[in-house]
Amino acid sequence: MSVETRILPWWSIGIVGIMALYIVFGSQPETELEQPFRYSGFLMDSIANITAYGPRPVASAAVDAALAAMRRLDDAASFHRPDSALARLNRDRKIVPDAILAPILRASSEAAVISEGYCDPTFAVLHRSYGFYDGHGRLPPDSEIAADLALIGWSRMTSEFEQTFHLASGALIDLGGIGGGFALQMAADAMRAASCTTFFIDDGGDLWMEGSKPDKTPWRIAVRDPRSDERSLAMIETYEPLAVSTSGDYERFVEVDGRRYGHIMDPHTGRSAAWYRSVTVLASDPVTAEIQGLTLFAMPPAEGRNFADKYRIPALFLPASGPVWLTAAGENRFSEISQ
Amino acid sequence: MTELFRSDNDEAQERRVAPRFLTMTDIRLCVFLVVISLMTWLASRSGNSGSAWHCRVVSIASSRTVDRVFSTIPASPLEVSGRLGTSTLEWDKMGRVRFIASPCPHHVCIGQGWTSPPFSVACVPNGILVEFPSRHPNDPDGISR
Repeated sequence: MSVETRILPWWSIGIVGIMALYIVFGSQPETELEQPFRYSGFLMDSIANITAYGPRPVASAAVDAALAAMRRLDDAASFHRPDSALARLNRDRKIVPDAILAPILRASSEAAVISEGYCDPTFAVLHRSYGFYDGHGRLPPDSEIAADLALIGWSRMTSEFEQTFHLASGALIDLGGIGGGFALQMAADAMRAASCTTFFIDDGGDLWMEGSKPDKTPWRIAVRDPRSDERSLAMIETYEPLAVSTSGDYERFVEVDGRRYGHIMDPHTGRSAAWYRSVTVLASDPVTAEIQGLTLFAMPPAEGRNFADKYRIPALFLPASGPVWLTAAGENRFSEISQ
Repeated sequence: MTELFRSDNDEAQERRVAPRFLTMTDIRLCVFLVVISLMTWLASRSGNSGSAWHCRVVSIASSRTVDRVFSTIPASPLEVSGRLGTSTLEWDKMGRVRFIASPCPHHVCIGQGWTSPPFSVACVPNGILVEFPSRHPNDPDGISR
C-alpha cells in the first residue's frame, strides 16, 4: 500500500475553507433590502426619478406617496393649469391660500427680500413678453420691458394678516422655481411618513437625498456639463442629507433670430440673465437650494460672489465664457471639476 | 536508518508530525471546493451584475404611457409617438442614443447629441424619455442638470 507524500501543513485547509466561505457568503449579491426600488417617468411637465431603499412594499408605497405629494403641489402651484390655486390668484387677483400654497407664498416673500429682488416670482410678466408661455419666442421692445418692470416686485402682492392675498392688477406670479423646491420637500416628507428612511429624489434635475445606503457608500452626484454630452462638469459626494440645484440656460429658452434667451430673468433689467451657462448650489434643504441657485444665476458675478460669501453658499459656476469657479464654501464639496 | 534500528522515539515523532501535513488528495479536494465556490458565486452574480446594455424608452401619447426596454442595440432608427407627434431615435454601435427628429418647438432634445449610460435624454414637450436602466457600481446616484 502506497503512502501519499504529505506536502502542506494541516492548517492550510483552514485558510482555504475560510476563503471559500468568504467567496460564497461574504460577497452575496444584493438582497431585496439592498436592491432599491426605482421609479422613472414623466410627472407634470418634467421627468421624475425616485430611488427608495428598504423592503419592497415599503419602498414602493413611499414612492407612490412621493408622487402623490408632487401632484398635490402641482394642483396648488401650477402656472399652466387653469384649475390650480395659483391660476385662480393670477386670474381673480385674490386668494385665501390652502395649506400647500400658503407656505410657498410666504417663502417667496422672504426670497424676494433676501435675494435683493433677483428671485422674485413676479418675473412672470417678462416670460409672457418673451413668449415663454405661448411658445413663440420674441424679443420684446424696450417700452414693453419698461412696462413689465413696473409690475415686478413682491410689493405687488399684499396680504391681510397673511390670510388673504391680493395681487396687483397686471402683475403675474409664476412659482416654477420655488415650487420645484417645495415639490422635493413635500415628496421627501411623504417618503419619511411612509417609513422610508433612505431615498433619492430627482425632480427635473433638482435633487434631494437622505439616509444611509445599504452598501455604506456615499451618495454620488454628477453635475451635467452643458458643453459636453458625455462628461460631467463635477462630482459631489455626501453621506449627509443634501439638496442639489442647478440653474442653467440650456434646457429652457426661447430662440429669436438664431440667438437663445434663457428662462432665468434679471428682474432689475428685464433681460434674460446671461452671465453663466450653469450655476450649481448645494444646500441643506431643497427650497433654499432653488432660491440660492436662481439668485446666483441672475446676479452679476461681483454681486454673486458677495452674496455667496455672505451666506456661505457652496456653489459651482460655469460662466458663459472663462473658467469654472467655486465659492469658498464650495471648494471642498465639488471634485473632478472639468475646466 | 533501517526498521531494525528505529527507536520508539522515532515512531512517536512520526505520529506527532504526520497528521499535520496535507496529502495531494487533500489539496485536490481544496482546489475542488474553491472552484465550486467560485462557480456558485459567479452564477449568483450573473443575474445582478447590471453591466448588460439595456435601454428604456418611455413615451406618452394620447394620455397613454408606453414603456419599452431594449436589451440589444436597435440596428435602425426608431420612430416613437409622443404628445406632439413622432420623434425619431437612433443608436450607434457603442449603444449611445440620440434624437434625430422631433416635432418639439426648440429641438433641445436633438441639440443634446449622443447620450451614453448612465445619462438619460428626454424630449419633455413630446413626452419621450430615453434612459439606460442598468447600473454599474461606479455610476452616480443622480445627475444635477
